Amino acid sequence: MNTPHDWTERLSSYLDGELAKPEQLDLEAHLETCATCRRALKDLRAIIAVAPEYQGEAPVNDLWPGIAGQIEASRTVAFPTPARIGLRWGWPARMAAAIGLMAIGAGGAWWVLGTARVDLSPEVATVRVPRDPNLMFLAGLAYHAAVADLQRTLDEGRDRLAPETMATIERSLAIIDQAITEAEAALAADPASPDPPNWIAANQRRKLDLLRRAAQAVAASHTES
Amino acid sequence: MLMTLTLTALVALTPLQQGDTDTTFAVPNGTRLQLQNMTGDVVIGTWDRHEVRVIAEHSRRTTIEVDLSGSVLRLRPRSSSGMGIGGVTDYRLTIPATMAVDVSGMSANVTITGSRAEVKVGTVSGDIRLTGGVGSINLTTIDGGITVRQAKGRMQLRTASDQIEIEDSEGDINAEAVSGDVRLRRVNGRQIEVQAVSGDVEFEGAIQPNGSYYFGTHSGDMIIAIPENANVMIRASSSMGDFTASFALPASEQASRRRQTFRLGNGSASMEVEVFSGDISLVRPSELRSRNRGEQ
Repeated sequence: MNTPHDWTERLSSYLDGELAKPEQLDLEAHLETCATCRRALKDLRAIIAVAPEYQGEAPVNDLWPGIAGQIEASRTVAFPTPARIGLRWGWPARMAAAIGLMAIGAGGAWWVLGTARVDLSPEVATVRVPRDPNLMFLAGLAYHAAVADLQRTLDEGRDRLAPETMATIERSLAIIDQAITEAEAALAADPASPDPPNWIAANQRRKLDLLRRAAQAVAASHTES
Repeated sequence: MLMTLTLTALVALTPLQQGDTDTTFAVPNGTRLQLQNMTGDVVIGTWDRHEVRVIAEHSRRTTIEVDLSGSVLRLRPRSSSGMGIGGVTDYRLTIPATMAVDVSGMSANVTITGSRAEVKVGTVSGDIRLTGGVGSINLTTIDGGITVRQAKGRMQLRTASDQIEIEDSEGDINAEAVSGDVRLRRVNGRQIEVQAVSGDVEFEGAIQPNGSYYFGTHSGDMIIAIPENANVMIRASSSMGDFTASFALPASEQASRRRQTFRLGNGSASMEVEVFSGDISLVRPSELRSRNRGEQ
């Protein structure tokens, strides 16, 4: 019997057209009844839809036109590890790319995405994407890099936001961090449980989203002054 | 066609306090309003005329720039020195009910009443209150609450700190808060997705055949009203919290310590309720209503 985790694992292969027909039909039947997998599939489709657009072009803004222009275009996301990491070009890599795209809106990072590699230009890292089972590594790495970049933008511009707003942002980030910590502890206690990874991923996405909106607010305040 | 109106000339027609603006002008059918207001409140009402009335309170050094280009009407305060975008400006607008609205600001409470069009509001700090709205409704704030009533369409609502309330509305709903609660009352949608981190989640509404409903909160509590005749497959998951129902449920089809699945009626709709450390309560709509009346 398939566990929910099994289904989630198969979504990447499904999107890549790698499932055998019976498996594909099974998955499609499952998708009709499972909102969690439908949501995951929707996220993955969105990521795949977005990532190919970034072929070394300048960052594209997605919310308030003109705001990102206020941000230093030179800022880059620094990878804390040596530059070459072997990875298969599966959905976690695309997820990582999407996380990077989130960072673009506020941090001005340049992510060059090709069919087989992720570059963090101009000088930071090149991630080559051959085969490697440790797919989530890049996603985790990109997440932490994106958080650091957005947090830096926010820290540098904190005086530009009202103290009450800044307090709200920090309180909200602390709540999200607490949720992530709790889910990580649950995962450590029961690594086979399918739920904690979902909670971790959902709250990481929320944290990035909130940080991005806060960083955009900082940028917007530049426009105001 | 490019038409630019400068209000400084028009304002002279109306006796006002120094610096304030009050003007009314015609707009073509299908015009979209785009209003940027960094600081100050925005109150928008509607009428059945193809006209826009702009009343704005601002300093003497500020003018309201009105730019009607193509199908977009842009309003923004401008410092008369040409530097910056003006100081605090409070707007009271009356617009055609069918005019789509796009408001953005840093510190701005935004109230829109009577809209029969798409509405988009993005603020950093400030409450957003919408009565009406049809089609795409996108409301975002970081430090403020969101209230929606009598809307119809596809709603996307997001805040960090305060609560989201949606009442008497129809359509697909995607609502997300961090610490605030999310409360849906008397809603009717086929696809509804509600998420919070530490806030509570409350739902009372129709469950449509083949509808898809997701409610999740990490550490908040969840109370979901299930109508008596609902045809829904409920999948409840709680990592650490409790699950209770105030009415008899059929035997769970997937009973485990953390997950349970209940088929009500023919189970055509799909509902997922997930909490990490909060509690899940399933109740009848009448119970939830009486409970809410008791709280008021």
